[in-house]
Amino acid sequence: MGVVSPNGIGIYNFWQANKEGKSGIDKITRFDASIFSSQIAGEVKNFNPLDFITNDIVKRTDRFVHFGLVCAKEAVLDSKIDISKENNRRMGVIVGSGLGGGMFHEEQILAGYEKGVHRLNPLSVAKISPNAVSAYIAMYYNLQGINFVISTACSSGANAIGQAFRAIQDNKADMVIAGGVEAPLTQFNFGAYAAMKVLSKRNDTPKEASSPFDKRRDGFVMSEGGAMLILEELEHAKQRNANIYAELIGYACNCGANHMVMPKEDGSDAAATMEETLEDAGLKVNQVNYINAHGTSTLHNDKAETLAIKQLFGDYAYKVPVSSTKSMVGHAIGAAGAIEAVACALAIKNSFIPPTINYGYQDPELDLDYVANHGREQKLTNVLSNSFGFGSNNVCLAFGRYDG
Amino acid sequence: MDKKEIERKVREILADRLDTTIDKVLPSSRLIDDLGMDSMKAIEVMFELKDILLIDVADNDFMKVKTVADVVKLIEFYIGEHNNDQC
Repeated sequence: MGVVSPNGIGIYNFWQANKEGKSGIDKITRFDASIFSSQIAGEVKNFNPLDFITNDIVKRTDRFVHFGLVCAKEAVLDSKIDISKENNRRMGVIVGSGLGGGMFHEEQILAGYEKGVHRLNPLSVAKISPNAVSAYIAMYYNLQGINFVISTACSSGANAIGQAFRAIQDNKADMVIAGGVEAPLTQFNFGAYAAMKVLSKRNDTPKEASSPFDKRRDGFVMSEGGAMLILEELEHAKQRNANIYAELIGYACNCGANHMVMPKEDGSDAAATMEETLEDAGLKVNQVNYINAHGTSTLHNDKAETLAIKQLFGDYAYKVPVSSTKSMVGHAIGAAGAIEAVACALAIKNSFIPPTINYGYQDPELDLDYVANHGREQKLTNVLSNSFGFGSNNVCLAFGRYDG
Repeated sequence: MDKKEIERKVREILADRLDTTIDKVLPSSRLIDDLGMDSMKAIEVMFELKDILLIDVADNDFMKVKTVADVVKLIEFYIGEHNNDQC
């Protein structure tokens, strides 16, 4: 696995930060955010792509591709797979990204207006296209199998992992590099979300601003980053003695067909997604011992998600720990589901539930066990990870412990 | 801009866009065989020349160049044309 997150670059640093409840949120430095009511974000600091990839690639790609390549490199290295010995036609790349190369797109639109459209950079299309990330990872490792990018807003990364799971189940691939990336911290993108009034305005206390399920929550905190996982057919992984973090055992995706940006208030669609995932995994509700929530820290999501869990799990809802790692990472849009998948796999491997930090005041309607402020040592056998995107796109992944 | 300056700028642009160092971009270097130019990189180079030297090289003219020295000659020609236009 590989990860680039505001609270840690690399799986070791990321996991330490999650265990210790360390926030990656701060005042925005990338651009002048003083004109917006929200001025905080999860920027990936001290990230120089040239430390990991060559200049010829860096200058021809947008930041979201940099994240993707760096995560893929760490994941391949961590997996110890020798790609040269594999059948590269059965190795693929599936990545989620909600916004693609927005940073370069914005620069080029401005340049087009300032200098004239005849002066647009000839690499614009190649740099902006969302599938630049899956293409560059494939070119880097000469992976000639299945390859595409999924764009379903905040559930993109989770859908990419789910579709990679299906490709392996359908015997279309032996191994897929799957994950999500996003580099949304540009003035236009940020401004667009700010205009929607969905971002936290707790500018004076950035590290406390992302407070999922807490009564004081006032919106999500946008962040950037990425994560990649090596998904591999089990027998293939066993044959090469791979270090298996966890087993992906279930996936479902549906649509609430409800609203472009609002979740269904009663959470019935999200409950159905989790139910379908449990069916896919062959699990009963009481076999789940941790839920990594979508938990964005918005008024609507956290309430609807809590209702969805109660609806599906009944009385057991009060016994299953639910935490939101977005309290530390912020919301990395299309990368979020992949970053959280890495958190789930590490939680299973290390028998530790990461906390929901910044939890101080209970909302009377939100009364589950949110693993408030401190993580918890607990052996985990089956874990769910929720990701819900704009357009009522709901995804749930189920991970199981692998003991060999 | 004199000939020396043009040559330096052209070599800089070629080194950057062809992913090499300026010491490897010699007047006698062949663009395709020695420096790995391809059609996409040619478009990038033309864009940079346009952006940095403020000249608009015609595609047909650029397609005829074979070496770094040819590019320098072509740019000199275009800069000369540009200066004449201003007279």
